[in-house]
Amino acid sequence: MSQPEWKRTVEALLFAAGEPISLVQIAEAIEGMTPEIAQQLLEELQREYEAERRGFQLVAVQRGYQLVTRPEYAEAVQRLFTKRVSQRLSQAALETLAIVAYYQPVTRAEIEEIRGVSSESALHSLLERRLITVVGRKEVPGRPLLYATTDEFLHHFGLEDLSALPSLAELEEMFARVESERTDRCDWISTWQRPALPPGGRLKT
Amino acid sequence: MPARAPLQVQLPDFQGPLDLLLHLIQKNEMDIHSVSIAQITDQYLAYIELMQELDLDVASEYLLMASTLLYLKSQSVLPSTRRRRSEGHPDAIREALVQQLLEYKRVKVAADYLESIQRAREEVFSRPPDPAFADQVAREYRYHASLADLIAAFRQVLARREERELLPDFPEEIQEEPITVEAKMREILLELETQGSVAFGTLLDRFQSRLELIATFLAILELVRLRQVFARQEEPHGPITLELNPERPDISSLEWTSFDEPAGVEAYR
Repeated sequence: MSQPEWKRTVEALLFAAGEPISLVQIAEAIEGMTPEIAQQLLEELQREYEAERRGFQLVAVQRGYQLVTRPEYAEAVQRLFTKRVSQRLSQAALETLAIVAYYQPVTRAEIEEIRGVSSESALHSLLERRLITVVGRKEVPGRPLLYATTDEFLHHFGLEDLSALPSLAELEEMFARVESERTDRCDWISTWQRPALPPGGRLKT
Repeated sequence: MPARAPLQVQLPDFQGPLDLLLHLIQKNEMDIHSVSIAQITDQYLAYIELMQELDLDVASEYLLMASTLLYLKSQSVLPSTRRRRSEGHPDAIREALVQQLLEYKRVKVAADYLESIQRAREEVFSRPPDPAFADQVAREYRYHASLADLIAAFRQVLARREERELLPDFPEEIQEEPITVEAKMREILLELETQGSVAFGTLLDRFQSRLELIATFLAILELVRLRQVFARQEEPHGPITLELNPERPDISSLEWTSFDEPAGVEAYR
C-alpha cells in the first residue's frame, strides 16, 4: 500500500471507530504500519482538515485520536438529534465538585470551610447526578459523611481516571498563562489534551 | 402617567464572601499576600450595603466576614495587646484569611477547568462505533437510576393506579399473611435469581393494594441500598430495570432498616 493509501486507511479507521483510537490500534490494523508513521499521518490529516475547513476535525484525546464535529456547527448538529438533556452544573456545584475531586475523601464541613459558604444544596445536586457519592464517615466527633467522586464523574468529564486531572499547581500555572495572554477562557482547554468526547445521541426519526 | 419601572441593577453573582473578596482584590489589582485590608473592607461593606438595598438575601457568611474585616481594619491602626503568636492575634487572623483566599482561588481555577470541559463536550459530537461492533465497545455505559428516578417512577405507577381503583388497604377478608417489606425483599430476590432481571413497572403493576405497592417499593429501595440489586436506566426518565448485583455482599451480614417492627407506639410516647 502506498503512503496516500495509508493515510486514507487511517481516515477510514477513525470514521468507523467513532470512539478514540490509539496509535497502537492503528498500527495493528494496517499491515506494515508503525505507531510513529501513524502519528505522522494523523498530523497530516489534522492539518488537511484545518486547511480545508472541513465540518469535522481531528482531535487528540487521552485515549488516542478521534474525529469530532467542529463547535461552529454545534447548533445544526444539535437539531438533528433528539433533545440532549442539559448536563450543565451551577457554579456552586462546580466549585464543590472541584473540591471533592481534588481533596477526596472530604466532609461537608471541610468543603464549606474552603468555599466559605454553605454547600448543602450543591452537594445534594451532585449526589443526585451521581457525580459524587458517600464513601464512609470521618472518625471524628459527629462522624460526618465523607464524599468522593464516582465513575460517572469520570465519564461526564471524559477522564480515564483521576490521575488524568491536572494538578492544582499545573492548573494555576496554565491559568496564569492564559490570563497574561488574554486568551479566551473557553479556549484554554485546547492547550491541554482534550478529554474523550461522547457519541452524538439518538437521531430524530 | 406610566408607572416607573424598578431600577434594574445587575450585580455579579458571587458565590460567597471569599468570591467577593477575590473579585475586589483583583479589581484593585492587588496581590493577595499584601492586600490592604483597610481599603478592601470599605469596598466590601459598600457591596453588602448595596445588596441589602436591593433587597437581596445577604447570607450570614457575608456578615461574618464583614465583622472579621472590620476587626482586622481596626487592629491595623491600634497597637495590639495580644501576644503575637496567639490565635486571636490579628496577624494570625489575617494570615488565615490570606491562606483561605489562596486556597479558594485554586478551587475556582479547578472549577473553571471542569466547566471548560463541560462546555467543550457540549459543542462537539462524535459517532458511536458502527453497530457491527456493538458488543466490542469497551465501556458500555448504563445509567444507574438515582433515588429521585425511582421515586418518579413510583409516582407514575401510583398515578396509573389512581385511574383504576385500588383495592382498599384492609379488605374484609382477613389476609392470609401480613405484608412485610422483608417478605417482599425475599420475593424480589427470588424472582431476580430465576429471571435475571425484571422491569420496575412490571413488578409493581401486578399488585392490587396500595399497601402492597408501598411495601414492594420500600423493598426495592432497601435492596438497592444494600447493594443486592441494581436499578438500571438506559436514559433519563426512561424505564427502569432491576438486576441482581453479581458481586452482592452477603445479605445476612448487613444492617437492615427495620420497617416492620411496631415502632409506632414507642415513637409517639
